[in-house]
Amino acid sequence: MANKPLKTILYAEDEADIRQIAQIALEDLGGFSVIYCSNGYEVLEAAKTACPDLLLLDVMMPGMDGPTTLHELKKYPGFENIPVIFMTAKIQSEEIMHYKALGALEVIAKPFDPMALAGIIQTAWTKA
Amino acid sequence: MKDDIKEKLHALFVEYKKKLPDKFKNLQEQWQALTQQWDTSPLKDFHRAVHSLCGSAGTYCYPSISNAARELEVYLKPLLDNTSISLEEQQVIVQCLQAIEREIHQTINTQETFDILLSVTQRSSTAVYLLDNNESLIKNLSVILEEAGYTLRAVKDIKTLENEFLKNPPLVLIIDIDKISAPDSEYLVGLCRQQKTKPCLFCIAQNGDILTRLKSVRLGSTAFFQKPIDPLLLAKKIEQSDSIILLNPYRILIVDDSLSLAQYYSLILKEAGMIVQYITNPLLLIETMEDFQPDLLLMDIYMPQCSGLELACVLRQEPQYTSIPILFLSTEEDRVKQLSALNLGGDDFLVKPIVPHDLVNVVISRAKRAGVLSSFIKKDSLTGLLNHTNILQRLEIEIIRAERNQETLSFIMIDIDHFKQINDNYGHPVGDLVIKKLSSLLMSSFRKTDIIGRYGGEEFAVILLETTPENARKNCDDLRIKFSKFKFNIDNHSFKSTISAGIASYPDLSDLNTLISAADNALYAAKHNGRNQVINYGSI
Repeated sequence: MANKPLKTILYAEDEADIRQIAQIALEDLGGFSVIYCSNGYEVLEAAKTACPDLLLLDVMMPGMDGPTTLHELKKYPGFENIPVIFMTAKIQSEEIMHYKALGALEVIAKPFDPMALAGIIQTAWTKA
Repeated sequence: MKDDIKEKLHALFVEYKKKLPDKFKNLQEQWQALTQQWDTSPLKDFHRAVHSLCGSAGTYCYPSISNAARELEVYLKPLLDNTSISLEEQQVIVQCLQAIEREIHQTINTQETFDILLSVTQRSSTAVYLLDNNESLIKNLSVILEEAGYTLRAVKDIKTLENEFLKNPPLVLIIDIDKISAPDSEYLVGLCRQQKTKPCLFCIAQNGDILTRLKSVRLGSTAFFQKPIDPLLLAKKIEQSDSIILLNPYRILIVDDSLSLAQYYSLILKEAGMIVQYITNPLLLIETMEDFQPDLLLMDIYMPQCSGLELACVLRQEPQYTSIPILFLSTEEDRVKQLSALNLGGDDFLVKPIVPHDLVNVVISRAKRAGVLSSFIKKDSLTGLLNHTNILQRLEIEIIRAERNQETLSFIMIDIDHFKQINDNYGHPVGDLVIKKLSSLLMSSFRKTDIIGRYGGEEFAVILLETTPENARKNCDDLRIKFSKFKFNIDNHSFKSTISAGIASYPDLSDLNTLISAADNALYAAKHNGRNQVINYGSI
């Protein structure tokens, strides 16, 4: 995706404290514009009006988890090939392989470093 | 806005800390309700709340709270679909909750500093992990590394490595690429990449062919070693990986007409451990260069008085600036225009907006390469100190700076006493050893800002900035005493050596040549008076 600049991120995370710190990491430090959702249903709702370049999904969310949200979202027109990055606390090598098989550009371990988050996302985007 | 990021983060951290007792109270209430009436749905909510605390506490740099919550989370997981709970299980959960409470209590009662913003530069570890079971390599390497202040942890399988890694991320991770599967190696590389201070990856392999080396490079390794491995060489590389920023911070000059952008880049680079100065008026470039002596220049292209490209041309016409790396910052995305900028003397092009992480990486990699090259030119090969020409150049610059800032400066010339006898009695390799010992003592005795050079043969020169003749004499005398106590052991013999030193200071003496010859005269007087002493020019 090196030719297209990464501008808008649709980000889902159920924990408000983490969303706040991610806001500084993604907007202030990364310069991205971000649409925030606190669960999978909100992601599906937001997708009706927004055109994000990238999805950033927490894996474990109440109601609908990250991978299920991705699966549902891909049924929406224009979202068939949406690039995604997962964030998860339980990072194991098999788990990474599994998410990569779902098409994830990157799997980011939680807790993340706010100073490095935007860089990791940008690198994953540029490399893809 | 961007200048306030640090404050904003800090405010968030303070706010989060305040919320911790409520978060715990909430957990406890959920647990109380469960013990009254066990049901899988509120149990799932409880599990979720524990999971949330685990994640958020980790993000807000409270690993001990996060770990305590993680233990409970892991314990609850298999119980999620159970329709009842045993007394024993209840006890474990209560204990886990108590552990979380203890950690929260402790956190609230300690005044911590939010060191997260320094994360890029902190040396978090002296650990070197080796994923291999080659006993002789482990043995040799651990002895050598221990001497250098590192600890080697040899791990035999990836699971153990993963656990160790999460507890204490290493400075360097060494893997044998013949023995590790592709998904495992990729997983480890990912783990490295996500650390606050990214560990260096070294690869070792049986074959040194191009395909193996490519595989190593593709994993993101910074070093490759073919077996059999020379532990000394490996240890040296580890030391190099460690010393890049910590021992010698890069000096970066930013030229950008936008004050807020200049401050923003400056903040990012400073947080990565660099010494940064910025100017918003490009016409001040030459004098700032002379004054600040940067290792790298970060320059905006479009500025009102002149363009960055013109400035690069001006600099490249000056012999002393032909090799300094120049990075252009611009919104220019046209590759043809970018390339023409590089033709005019730039080294790289960074397109705005720039991700902080990328900026730091590009600056470090450029400055590092330029530093290696210029050290071959500027430094003495035996000691790594500045050579004769460069120490004099620095003295000239520092005198001008001291004059402008109305500061004092002292110049010391040091000579090893009876050095010829050492060479004659023990041979030149021993003479070299004495020189190396003195140079390492010089580096450890003076401040990082002081400038140390090998003047020639057994003679050294030191420029002490903002130092009066009296203080210079005192510092130098401490060094003299330390050196005279050091015992050199050669085979069955041991001997000691001494030094003499002469000091001259600015503004008592105000030009380069007078200062040098005064220090030389003082050194001569010290020798004449019986050696092993320090004399100020003023007291001859």
